[in-house]
Amino acid sequence: MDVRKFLKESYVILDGAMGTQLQKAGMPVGMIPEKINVINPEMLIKIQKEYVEAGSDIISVNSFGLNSRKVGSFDEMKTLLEAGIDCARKAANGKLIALDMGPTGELIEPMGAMTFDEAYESYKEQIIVAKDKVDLIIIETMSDLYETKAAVLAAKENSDLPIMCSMSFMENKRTFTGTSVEAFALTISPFVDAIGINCSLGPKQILPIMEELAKWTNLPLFIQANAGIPNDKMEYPVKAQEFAQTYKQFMDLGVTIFGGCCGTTPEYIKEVSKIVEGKKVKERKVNIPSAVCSATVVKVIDKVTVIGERINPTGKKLMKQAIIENNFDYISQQAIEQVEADADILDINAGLPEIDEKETLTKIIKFVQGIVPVPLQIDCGKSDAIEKALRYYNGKAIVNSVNGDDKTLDSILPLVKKYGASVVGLTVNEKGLPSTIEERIEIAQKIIERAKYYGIREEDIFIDCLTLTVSVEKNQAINTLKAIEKIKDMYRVKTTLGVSNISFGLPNRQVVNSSFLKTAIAYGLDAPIINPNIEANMKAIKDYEAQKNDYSKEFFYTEFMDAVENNINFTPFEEVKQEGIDEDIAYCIKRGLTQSRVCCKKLLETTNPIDIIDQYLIPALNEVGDEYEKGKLFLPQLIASAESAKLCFEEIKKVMPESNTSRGEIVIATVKGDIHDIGKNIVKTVLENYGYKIYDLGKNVDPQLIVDAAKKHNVKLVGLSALMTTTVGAMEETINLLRKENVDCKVMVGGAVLTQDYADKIGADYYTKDANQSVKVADLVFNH
Amino acid sequence: MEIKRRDVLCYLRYRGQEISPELDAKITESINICRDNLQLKNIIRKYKIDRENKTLVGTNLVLGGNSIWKHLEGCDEAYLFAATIGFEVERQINKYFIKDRTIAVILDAAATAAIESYCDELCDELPGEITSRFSCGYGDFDISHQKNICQVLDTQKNIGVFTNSSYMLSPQKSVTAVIGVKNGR
Repeated sequence: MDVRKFLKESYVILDGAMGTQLQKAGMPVGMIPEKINVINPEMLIKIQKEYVEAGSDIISVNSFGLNSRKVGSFDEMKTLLEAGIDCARKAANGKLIALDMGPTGELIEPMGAMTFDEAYESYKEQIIVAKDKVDLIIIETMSDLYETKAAVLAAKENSDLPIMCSMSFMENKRTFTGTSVEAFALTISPFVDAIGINCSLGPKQILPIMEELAKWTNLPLFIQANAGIPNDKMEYPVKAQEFAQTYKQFMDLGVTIFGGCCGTTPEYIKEVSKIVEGKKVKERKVNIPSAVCSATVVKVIDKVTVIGERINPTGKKLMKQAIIENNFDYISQQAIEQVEADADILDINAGLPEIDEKETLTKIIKFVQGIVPVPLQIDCGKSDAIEKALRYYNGKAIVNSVNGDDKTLDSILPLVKKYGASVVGLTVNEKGLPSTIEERIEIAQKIIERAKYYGIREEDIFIDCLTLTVSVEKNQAINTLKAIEKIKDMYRVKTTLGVSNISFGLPNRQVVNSSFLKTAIAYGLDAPIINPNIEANMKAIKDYEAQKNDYSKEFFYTEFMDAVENNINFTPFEEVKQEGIDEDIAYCIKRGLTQSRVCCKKLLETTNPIDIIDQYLIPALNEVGDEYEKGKLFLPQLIASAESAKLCFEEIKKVMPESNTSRGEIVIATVKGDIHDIGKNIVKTVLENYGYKIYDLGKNVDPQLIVDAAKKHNVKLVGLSALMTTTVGAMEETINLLRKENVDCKVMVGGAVLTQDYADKIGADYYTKDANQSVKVADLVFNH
Repeated sequence: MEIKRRDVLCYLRYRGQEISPELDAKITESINICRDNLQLKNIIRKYKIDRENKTLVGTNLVLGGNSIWKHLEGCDEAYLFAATIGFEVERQINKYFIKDRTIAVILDAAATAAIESYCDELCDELPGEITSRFSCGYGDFDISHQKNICQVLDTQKNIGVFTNSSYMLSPQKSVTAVIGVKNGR
């Protein structure tokens, strides 16, 4: 039997609840339900047979919560899974059986400790065991999009079986971790054969959510609702007939695959079978809008969509340094600033010859997607780096870019298709950037046709017609604009363009950029790539919106050419000098004021940077530390002062190389198994702003990674944090490993459950009861 | 549900220090951010106590240690309790650690105040005479019970609360507890 065809062309009946049925039959609550597969297979087979008799076409193996991590070992998982498959096969009586996989039970990064790869491996293990013994895979009750992606990828890459996948939503149409139903459809559809919604709610509450899902995918849709929402005695309110009646409304939406979740019984499945009897499936076809998404935010490209360009090392010294050093705080800061200035999408570029772009790009993407909610654009030309980034991206990304060169098209487009991404096509080829409109269009056509050959929709393509600086050849700008216009006429593709190139070499670039931005939008530009933190850029977009009904695109073009002409005679404005700073630097730091930056700038005009550190910053911080210790200040005040000092250090670093300003280098981390990092972050803040250079490895860090970092940076001090008694063990393990590998460093430890005694017992050199104490330890170790 | 400024300051170990207008504004802002991002969820189920087998009837939960049984003296039934303020506040704390660390620290305290206040409110609504909340880690009630309690309540599916291998809860601002129901109501 062709199962894919069956799922696509027939009404299909799944089974109903297993967990609640087993509990009814006497299984204690809280027990791992898959143990029944071995302990009492008869009980299981009986329930499954009842579902077959009630009309189920597909019986799920009792394997929903099964994985090696949960049951203790691979062998135990295999035993339980194989026994479960046997039961299902016996009960199925010729019907199909499905490997059933639910959430791993652990929370995935960035909020949790389990990595994407660990989740993938966990699913892979079950698939390897089951793939030759089952007919399809059902992945269900998922609430985290990242874990869902790991599961469907594992299924797709390790078997040829058809895959069905459903997530559980709350009434606000989002999962517990915030994924919207649209983001689910956009991200997961490319990997599966049917998509659906199950659990959490009754059929009535799921109906509006399904309505939304149906707009965002052309796959067969399935529903497995609960029998309503249970009361505190675990009684489910929706009865079988009412349940099936509501399912009729799902049929009207085009849902073709029906089953039940918690609280449903064979009786429900019987009623549901009746409603589809004799009915023929009508093909469902919706026009899915051009859109990209993160796990929580969907951006539909139906109005001007701003792509923030700042996370790119080209021509940016600090960003370059941050990327080389994996300084994610700096990169994230740029991400947050852009999003707060209303960037819709962020471009991420890690193209530096001196680094491993594949590793670094993915690291940045994983970090940035944990900090800001907007979708990301992967800006890279290397297919291996693109693939890795797409794999770890949580959502539907844009790949920037391919061009008219066959080699890039045939290596990158299949990846775009596999991961269901959107793609930017540059109208350039091995011969370079063409000068005529026609040549640009020709390349665009080639890219679009090739993308369609690989199965990528026009709506998922952004054509970038590129622009040269107008100072070289004035007429080039109009060619770019007309090419945009023509391509938009011919196809349903979207267009994108890096705008600031246009003014390269001109004295007052922003005036030219702004007017060109408006003009390009008038000619059909959808997604300008700009710096959203330049106010004039965002203002130009707003101005365009206000003016667009009153003026033609030619008007905007004339305005732009005027700006170019006038630019030649332009004198730049004087930078406005900040006046009226009468507070001194120490006062600002003690009060935690951001004006410290201006004070420091002013002081730098007359004072040597080293003297500022030694005579102003450190004494002020010491005073704050003392007052904190005496209880004259409390925690937020300590942090505010440290942050105020940080601004001064930033100014000083601008005029002096970092090696001269650093008081010493320290590696810090929250140990393996521990996901609480507030304490570590406070310590980091205070140390950093005392002028120490901190390598922050984050939370839940493997002992070996800490040892490796300590060796790599050759640090004299390592700081470890653990919050609970259960994780102090990992702290001890880390210290032992540092000693065993002869890392020449001191170790300071801190965290809620630690004491001096405890610290001594696990072999730490110093116990730090709070952040202030950690500075004293650091000063001691580095002889300050 | 109210996030009391007094509680927030208490979690920050405030001892009457002078608060500047700038800091004052940040405290207000932090409380607002916390309130705007709350995703309150709870699950509370009542079970009969089986003292002989040290369990709650119908579950596989074995309540170890003496402290919990001392706490449940005079009770025939007990509630298993789990509540959370959700992931969004945690995301905001992470974001503010990059954007404005002073706010991040205050926000963390506000989140603690929020979950405590939410739990109190839920307990106030429980009928009859009940004991206080007894959480894993109190007395000799081992932290490892956290995992079992979450399994019995299926917190992951019902309210989106996870445990990890160190028995920590995610979202971090979540609480599990056992609450005794006094006899003779």
